[in-house]
Amino acid sequence: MEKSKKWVRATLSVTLIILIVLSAFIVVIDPYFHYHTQIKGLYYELNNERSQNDGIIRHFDYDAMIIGTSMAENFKTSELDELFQVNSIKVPFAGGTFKELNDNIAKAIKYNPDLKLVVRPLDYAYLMDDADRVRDDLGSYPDYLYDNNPFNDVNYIFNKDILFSICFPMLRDAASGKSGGITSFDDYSNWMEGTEFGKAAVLGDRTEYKAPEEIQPFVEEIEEMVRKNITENVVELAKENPDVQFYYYLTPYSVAWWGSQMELGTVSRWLSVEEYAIKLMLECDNIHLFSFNTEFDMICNLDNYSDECHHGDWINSWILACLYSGTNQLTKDNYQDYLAVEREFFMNYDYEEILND
Amino acid sequence: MLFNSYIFIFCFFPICFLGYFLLNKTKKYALGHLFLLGMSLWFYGYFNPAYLLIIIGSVLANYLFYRWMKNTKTKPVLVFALAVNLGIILYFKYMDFFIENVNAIAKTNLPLLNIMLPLGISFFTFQQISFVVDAYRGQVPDYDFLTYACYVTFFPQLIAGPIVTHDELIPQLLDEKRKTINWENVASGLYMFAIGLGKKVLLADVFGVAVNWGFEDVPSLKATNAIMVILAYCFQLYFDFSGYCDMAIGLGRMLNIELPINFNSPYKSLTITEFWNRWHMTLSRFFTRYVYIPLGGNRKGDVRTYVNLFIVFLLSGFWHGAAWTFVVWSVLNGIFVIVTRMFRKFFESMHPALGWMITQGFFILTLVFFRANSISDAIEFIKQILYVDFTNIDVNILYGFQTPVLKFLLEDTSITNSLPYIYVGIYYFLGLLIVLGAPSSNEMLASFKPTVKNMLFTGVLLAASILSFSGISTFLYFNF
Repeated sequence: MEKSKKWVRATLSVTLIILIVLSAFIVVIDPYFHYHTQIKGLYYELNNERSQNDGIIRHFDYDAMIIGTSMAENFKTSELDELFQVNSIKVPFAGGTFKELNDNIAKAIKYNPDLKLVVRPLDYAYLMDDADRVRDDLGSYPDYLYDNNPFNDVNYIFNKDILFSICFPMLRDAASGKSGGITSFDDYSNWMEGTEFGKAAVLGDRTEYKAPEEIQPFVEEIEEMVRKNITENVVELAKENPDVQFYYYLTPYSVAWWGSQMELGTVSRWLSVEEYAIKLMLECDNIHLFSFNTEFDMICNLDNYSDECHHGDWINSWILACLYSGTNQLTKDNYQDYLAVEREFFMNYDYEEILND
Repeated sequence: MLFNSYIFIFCFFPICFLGYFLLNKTKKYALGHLFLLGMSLWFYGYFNPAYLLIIIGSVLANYLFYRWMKNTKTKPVLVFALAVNLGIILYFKYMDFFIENVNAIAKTNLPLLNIMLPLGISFFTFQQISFVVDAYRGQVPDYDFLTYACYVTFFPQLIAGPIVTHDELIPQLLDEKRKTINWENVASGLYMFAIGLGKKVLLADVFGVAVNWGFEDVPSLKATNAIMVILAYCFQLYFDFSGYCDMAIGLGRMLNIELPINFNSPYKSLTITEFWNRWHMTLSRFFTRYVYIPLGGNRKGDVRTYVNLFIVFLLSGFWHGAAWTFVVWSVLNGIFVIVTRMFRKFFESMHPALGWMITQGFFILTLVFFRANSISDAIEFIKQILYVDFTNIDVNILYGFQTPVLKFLLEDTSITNSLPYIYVGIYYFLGLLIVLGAPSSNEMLASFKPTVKNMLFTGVLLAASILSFSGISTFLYFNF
């Protein structure tokens, strides 16, 4: 009996020692920056947005941030830093909803009182989302990294995938002479390499734009959804933090996207949604709101796009320059004119033109 | 709650183990039972608290039937009790299946009820059916409600068996000698739990990746991949289910409760009859006791025996799930058992190696029906094998076996450069070695000794398994 008792103790000790030693590697190296920033001598690859962004936001040293969906992935923080004389991070959340992005900005403000500038694309197609929508359709969310519950960190520290696929290879690389560092934010999640741009990529096998079967109206329910989404996920945070400057812009989708909306009978509704959203956002002095939808040369040139929505990194660079110079900024004085020009163009555009050479 | 979860290992079981034995120290054993019942309900309700209503209702109802039969041993009470139990399982498990079939046959469009299947309902319902039948037969002594509820809900066996009968478990729960910590049991139980956990987490889940991929798009499999996938499923199913049972047996043992064995190296069987004596043994026992023998068993001539066997396998098919695929799987096995019985001499005179190949080959082929999403998918799967169009192993199968440890050790070495599919080979070889070459976990348990070797084996296996509970979260959103 005594021998068995000792055996049980010894066995559990072996288990615990293995777990503690191996988890120590994860805690010390911390590839997701859950406990601290990178340590010297190791090279950290930024390649898992949902897992690494939380740690970047909490622990990195910065006074500006670029945050957004895949529309923000091609931004280069070096350009933002140079233009605005800031030290920025980039935290993209591919497919992220307004709520997810807003929650992460709020967290950044909470953990980093130095934050003074936020650049964020407002995905046009998400303007009338449910205010509480989060993406639970894309995979398992590493919630254990985002909450402040230390107990569910077991998912992180007792994790052989992180240990053998990330930590040990980092140590091996260091041992073989690879110098320490981290993926630059310019390159983090940048998807330019290997991406095709142009008409073929954007239009796929589309051969026509059909006339809409029904025109979708801008009804009260939609107005309420937009109000909630924009108020709760954009405006409130800006009002609560008057010292932070929010450089927000409506994502400039290609004319092909508008063609698809025309087919669905939603163009007019989208324009009304946009108008209402702009009105709500312009109530905040520290939201610097931009829209590039009247840069018709750009959005009608499909060489700028890899699909109906996503543009190449040269557009991101140009957008940053616009944010700095104030080009295409919407103000209480000019936004009605902007909307009129925009409506006139998209309501009357001959979308079949897109299909012709 | 899953056995293979952090909360179970770091929180639930330590609390359960310490709480149970500390309360028993006061000699107020009812308190210990109450605590155990509470823990089991936590374990069960952790999946979905709404399930608790069903299991508590079922336990209460069956205990009332039992008390009723204690007073009036009449057949109508038994029939009513059986009807209630079968009614519950029919409603929760088969109602939508029934509606689907009515719609298909009568070309109607009755809406599905989308009933949520409570976990383990088949297990605890069958367990209680056996209890009320035994009560009717006068084979159940006086049990108080608390002990009975403890028996049915006893968490190690609650979700996936083994199906334990009252006469196996309740006397142990009432045995005062089992109320103190027995370190020999704790040691061997821990050893068994680690074996089961390793089978589930380190093997079954790895094979499962290839299986999930393979059954997603059957028509594009081709022969090589179809064979690889069904072999992977053969390993996955066995390691998963027997691993779960090993964990249950180990947990029970740590609490001084012996649970019956459920698997006895079935893949070593030389005939299909032997196979079914080694596979999911407590289910076979249930059907033998409560269906086969009451129907007359083998006492009424060959034809009735075959009919009885067929009925047992047919019911077993339905028990496994509300889908025709399970029925086809089970009926095919039943037919093979009957044929083996009919031509017993022929099968007995067969070379054991040939017997093994026929038995296992047949079972593996029937597993296609067990796993496939539909009968047409299963037939397509078998066609993919029969087309004999052998291609390379698909990289998606390879990815599944490139587990982080192996990849870290082997990637970019001369071994993987010349043999890129070595990862797959390692797992299949290991699987084969364990199911055929290693002693069964029951044999390992029987010969267990608290040695240093076993200590290291158990400690490393536990740690490796715990480290495998969580993976890297990936979002399936590649830009657009």
